[in-house]
Amino acid sequence: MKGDKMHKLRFPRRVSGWSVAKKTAVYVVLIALCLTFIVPYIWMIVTSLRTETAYISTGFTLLPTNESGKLEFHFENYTEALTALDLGKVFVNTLIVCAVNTVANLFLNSLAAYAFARMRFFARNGIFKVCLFSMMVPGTVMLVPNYLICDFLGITDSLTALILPFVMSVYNIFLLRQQFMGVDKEIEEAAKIEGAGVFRIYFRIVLPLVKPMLIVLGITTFMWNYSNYLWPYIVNTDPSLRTLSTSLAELMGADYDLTVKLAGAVVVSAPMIIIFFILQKFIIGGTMAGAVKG
Amino acid sequence: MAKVSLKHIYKVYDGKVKAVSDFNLEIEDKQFIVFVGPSGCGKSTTLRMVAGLEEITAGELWIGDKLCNGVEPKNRNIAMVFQNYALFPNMTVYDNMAFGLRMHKVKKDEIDRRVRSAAEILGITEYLDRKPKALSGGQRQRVALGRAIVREPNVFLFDEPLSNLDAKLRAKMRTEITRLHKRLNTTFIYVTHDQVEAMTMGDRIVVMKGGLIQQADTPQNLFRWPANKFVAGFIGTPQMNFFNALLTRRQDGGLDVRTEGFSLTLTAEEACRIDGAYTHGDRTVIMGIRPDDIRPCAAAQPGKGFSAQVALVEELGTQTLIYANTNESQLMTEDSPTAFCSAAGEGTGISPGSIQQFSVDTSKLHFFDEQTELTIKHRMPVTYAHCTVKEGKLSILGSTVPLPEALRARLADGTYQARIPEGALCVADKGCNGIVAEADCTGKDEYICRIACGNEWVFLKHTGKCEKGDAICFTVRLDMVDWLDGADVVVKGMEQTFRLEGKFVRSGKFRSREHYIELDGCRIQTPFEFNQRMYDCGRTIFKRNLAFEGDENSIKITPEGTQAQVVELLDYGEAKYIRLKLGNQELCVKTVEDVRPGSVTVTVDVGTLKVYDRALDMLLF
Repeated sequence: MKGDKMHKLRFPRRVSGWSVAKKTAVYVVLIALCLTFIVPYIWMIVTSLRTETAYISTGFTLLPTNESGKLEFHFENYTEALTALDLGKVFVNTLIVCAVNTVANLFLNSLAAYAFARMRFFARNGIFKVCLFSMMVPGTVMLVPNYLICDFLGITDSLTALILPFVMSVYNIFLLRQQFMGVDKEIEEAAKIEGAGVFRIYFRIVLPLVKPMLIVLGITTFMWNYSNYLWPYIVNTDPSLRTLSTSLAELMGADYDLTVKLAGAVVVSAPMIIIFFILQKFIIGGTMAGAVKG
Repeated sequence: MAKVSLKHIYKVYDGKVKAVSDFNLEIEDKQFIVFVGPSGCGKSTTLRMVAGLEEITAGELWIGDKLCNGVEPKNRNIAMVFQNYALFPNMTVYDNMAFGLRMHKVKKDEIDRRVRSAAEILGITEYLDRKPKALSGGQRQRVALGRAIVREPNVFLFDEPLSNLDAKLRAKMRTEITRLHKRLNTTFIYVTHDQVEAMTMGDRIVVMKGGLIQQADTPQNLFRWPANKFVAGFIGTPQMNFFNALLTRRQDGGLDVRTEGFSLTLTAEEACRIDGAYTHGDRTVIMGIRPDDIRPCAAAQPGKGFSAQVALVEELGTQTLIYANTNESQLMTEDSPTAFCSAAGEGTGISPGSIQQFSVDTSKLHFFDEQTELTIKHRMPVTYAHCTVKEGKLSILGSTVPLPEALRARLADGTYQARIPEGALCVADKGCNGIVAEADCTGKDEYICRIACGNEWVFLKHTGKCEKGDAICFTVRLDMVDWLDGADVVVKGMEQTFRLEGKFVRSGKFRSREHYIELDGCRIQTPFEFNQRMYDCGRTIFKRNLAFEGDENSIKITPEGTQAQVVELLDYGEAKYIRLKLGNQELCVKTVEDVRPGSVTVTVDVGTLKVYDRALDMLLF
């Protein structure tokens, strides 16, 4: 245009072959990794919608097809799996165990973490170090002592036995303590001067500030309890107290078609996958926050 | 509204590190007091002790008429504004401001009224629904102020509230806080490291260094009468110039001041407040001159100025700072003992490198001891007076009195110099006579009077109206006077307190347990109340090396009690003293009784003793 400052015309810069190759290599690796994780799950879903004979005759297919390659959905596998799992009862049991454990775990561990971070008491650092050392002991080693304690308390064959031994987690205490230590002390002092007591400061001021970490720990604790298999299998023999993981294990060992077993696996894993997708931004955000602060 | 008293406050960390030492301060109701000092001087620690956020190691904190040691912060009726605002990030501005009131269960309507009224005062009404992260630094600071205001506390505490703001905003907030103080009319305690903030805001300023109060006074008095070199250097911009100097008293009472690069002459009036012990020309002192008191001039009068080479000129608009040196060879040397800064008006036309004459306002010079760095030019100086002893008579300040019995054996006939401390001079109906030459008002109806007594100056404190030219009559308490022959002390004045060193011990089993002060060679049994106060100092009290300080009321000669030896009787006429040996320690106390040399029994009133921890040099109670 007239009067406008003249500019030299330029074509966009050419992308070099080397950078294209680098990008392609990255994408290939990422896609390969993605497929490695996702293909087994797709296979599981697809196979759970087929008949066992179709699966044996054609092997792996991307879509649920019958022996002649025609698309066919066999939802009766799911009906059978739900009956075999006793889903209603088992799901309620799992929900109770996971919810109660998560709430109690977060409440008690955050209290302990706050005490370790802020309160001044005799041998505070010593006690905390002892707690950290207990993390070195593998969880499996604790199975027998835990069982003996539960037996002594008379709580075997009850949902309490699935909750009580796991309400305290040193890992959660450690992470929350780091978070609490990162909270500006002056905020708490301001609240103290304003007239708030220790618990009021804890609940109204400090806890909301570590909410992202609480959400992360809530999700991971819930997931851990949801997929916990060995302990419920050992401590509970009563079929009415089964959780999803033990019930699924029983289904796997029973005389059912593979497609029914896979339908059971899909049913059991679906809630966790849905929860993960809904809350993934908190999980990633919270983990990152912890990493930077720590 | 409340008065705050800090009495012998100490803060010791881990039994070793002293953060605050013997902090004594009376803060009047509605006063704006500023704690100022460099980083790590203990100012914030002291404020936090007032707030209740730090435990007090020793001493008493009174807010109003309530002893607040160990009282929870919420029950002290204080509000605090923090350096980084300390707003609750998860709450809105409204909730932040209302938080304290909700904690104190104030009614909803009242909370709303107070929050909106405070928001109106601070101009933050439109931000009430916002969260702190959506506010700027200045707005956050206002919210923090608002949170303090709504509580309507007795005392406001500010811990460097403006240090996170930029220079322009800081100046604005400074005036806002000052205005707020006038509006709220309550006690403010403000901590800062910025001396400009301190000087412009405070009614009184407490200058601190190394956990100790260096001086507590009004901004003007700190500027005019700094207690030591640190205060002199800390207060005032640009900083005071310091030179090493020798002082020599002249016949006419004036002083010759000799420094490395120049000499000055002080008149008798200008020199009258300088301690006489430093005016023999044999002790190096530090002379301080503020840049405003060294002015460039065309030609300086002899003894009132000097010439120097200009190193650097800084034009600041209305002011020009001239950096010069009396020693040309050290012109560009940093920390040269002969370098100085002069503050002149605008447009001096002085260029670097030129030789310039400077005149000094010799009435505004400051002098400090070289070792202790304490001022030797006092607002209320010690009076030095010439006196003559002849045939049992003492002539002092124009009056002649019989020489007291206690001095007769010690002062031979001759001429002496009497060093008369502040408390030894009292206004009376008869005694020495003088004319008030200067009456310096130091407070309501309180004056420091410079009295012309013959050709000597006497300084005394006077309560009540007093003017230049008034005739005044006063007496001298001879027992408190130091008698000097040249620079040597011939007889020292009597101490009004005594100090004993020992330990606190207990013996016997639980039910029949008894407690004592164990001195070297004797024991004094202690009553329950005293023991309880000792126990309050902690379990280590029995291991500590202690010192016990008392006065004339602390020890009495009684028919029964602890055995002591009378070493000497000192009769000053109106006042009588006895030198006692208690165990293996000597002490001197005033007495009204007639005692003969030999063995006596005394009773120590331990309730009146002050107890010190000798290792920490800390007053326990």
